Amino acid sequence: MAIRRMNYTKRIDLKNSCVRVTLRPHENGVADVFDLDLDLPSDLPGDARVILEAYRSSPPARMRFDLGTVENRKILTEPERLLSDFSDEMPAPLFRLKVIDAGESDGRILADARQIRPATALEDSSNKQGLLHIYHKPLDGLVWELQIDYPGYGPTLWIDSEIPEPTEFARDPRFIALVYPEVLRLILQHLLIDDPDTREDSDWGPKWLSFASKLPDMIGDAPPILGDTGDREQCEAWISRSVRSFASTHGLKRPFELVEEDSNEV
Amino acid sequence: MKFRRFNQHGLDAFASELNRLREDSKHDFAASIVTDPRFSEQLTPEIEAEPRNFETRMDFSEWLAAAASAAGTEVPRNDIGFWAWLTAALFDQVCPKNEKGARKVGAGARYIPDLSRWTRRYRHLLANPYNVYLLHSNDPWRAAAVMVNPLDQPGELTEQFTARLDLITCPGTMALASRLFIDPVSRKRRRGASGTAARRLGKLLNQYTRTWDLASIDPSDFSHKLPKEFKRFTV
Repeated sequence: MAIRRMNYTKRIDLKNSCVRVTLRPHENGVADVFDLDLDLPSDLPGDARVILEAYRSSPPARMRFDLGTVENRKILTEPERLLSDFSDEMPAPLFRLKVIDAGESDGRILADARQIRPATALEDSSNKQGLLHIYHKPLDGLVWELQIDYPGYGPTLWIDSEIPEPTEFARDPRFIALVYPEVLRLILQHLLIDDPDTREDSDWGPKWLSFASKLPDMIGDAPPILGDTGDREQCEAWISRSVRSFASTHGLKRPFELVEEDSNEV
Repeated sequence: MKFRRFNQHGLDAFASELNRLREDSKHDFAASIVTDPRFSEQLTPEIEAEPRNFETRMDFSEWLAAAASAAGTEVPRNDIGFWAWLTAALFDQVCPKNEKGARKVGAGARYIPDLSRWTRRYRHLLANPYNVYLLHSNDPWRAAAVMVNPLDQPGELTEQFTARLDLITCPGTMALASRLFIDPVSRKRRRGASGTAARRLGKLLNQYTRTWDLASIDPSDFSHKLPKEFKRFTV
């Protein structure tokens, strides 16, 4: 049965496509600067104020940027768009855009877009974003750790920041071969077995399942639903097939085959 | 005291000391883990400060901010090993003995930060006040409502506000809570500013943030929008 939703406040839920935030490094090298591309609906009052907030929950931080009014947008200079409160190695902040009434109900939110994840200048203009977020922090002895549901981001692969050149390390074909299949297995296991609600309730769950279902060996092999179209064993078997298909499609074994050839030559 | 960070052995040793205290509240806390080089390493860049008696979470935060500023660096806020070490170094203030010489140890996340769960990451008794202090560093007393308690007793009001990012990061909300619950003369919490009132205000403001942009509203104007039950705090 469809859930009936009430909107007593008449607040307009802005689509994320109305607000595009892109991050790029600032020349000071310490923090990023954001660029904003805004396309607001035409039925908002011209004198309503437009505010952009950047925020992160841990460690908590929030910056607020006054963008003027709907009719008279303020153009912020580059230094004014510097995310100085987020100048560390933690993931980029999320953004919220608010359009606020300046009339009788001063302060009332007329429209907003929440949890806007910024694109980076390296991502293509079609806003194509990766499924897995990779960040660095000290892991106290571990080389990598998967956080399945990092708030606002979804699956996040943490790599120990104390490893020399951790960014390069994440692109090492041997690291990819050893770690990525396990990452895929853990995420699919979470979606199909450990917490099946996230398969639909989360923003990232459907994207990961779609990714696995579209692997060459998996087409036509729909993911089972625990307790409905499959039991735990069938779910595990489906996950194993997906992980193998992922590994073979991307030729993950190749770096090790080369090593074998080299060692035969010696 | 030069600040250090626990390694994994140090974290394990500290967790084990906490467990011993849970089993025996009069267990003699092994303070040697703080200085034993097997368990920790010095922070780089160095930060140094002499501990003193902190009456409030605000006192502690000011002390830590001054230490980092004097060293020309920043506190490693994401470093679990650092926060756990500092907690062990200040253990008598974070988990003081009562008159019978017993300590009451709370949940682990109060002493060793648990950053993996959003329901626990704000519970650390030292990282939490310091993060709040930095959020409101241009006017720390704006956050007085959650900063005037002792380190070991953050209280219900602190719990209600620091658990909600929208509230704790909002200058208007914090100014409103402090205006309601802090006596401007004594700079202490007013009577009744905890328990039910704290829980109710936290929930109300959480609702209001969905409809109102609290940051752009004057706290004194907004206090008149609150239900009657808060009138006793607005007089």
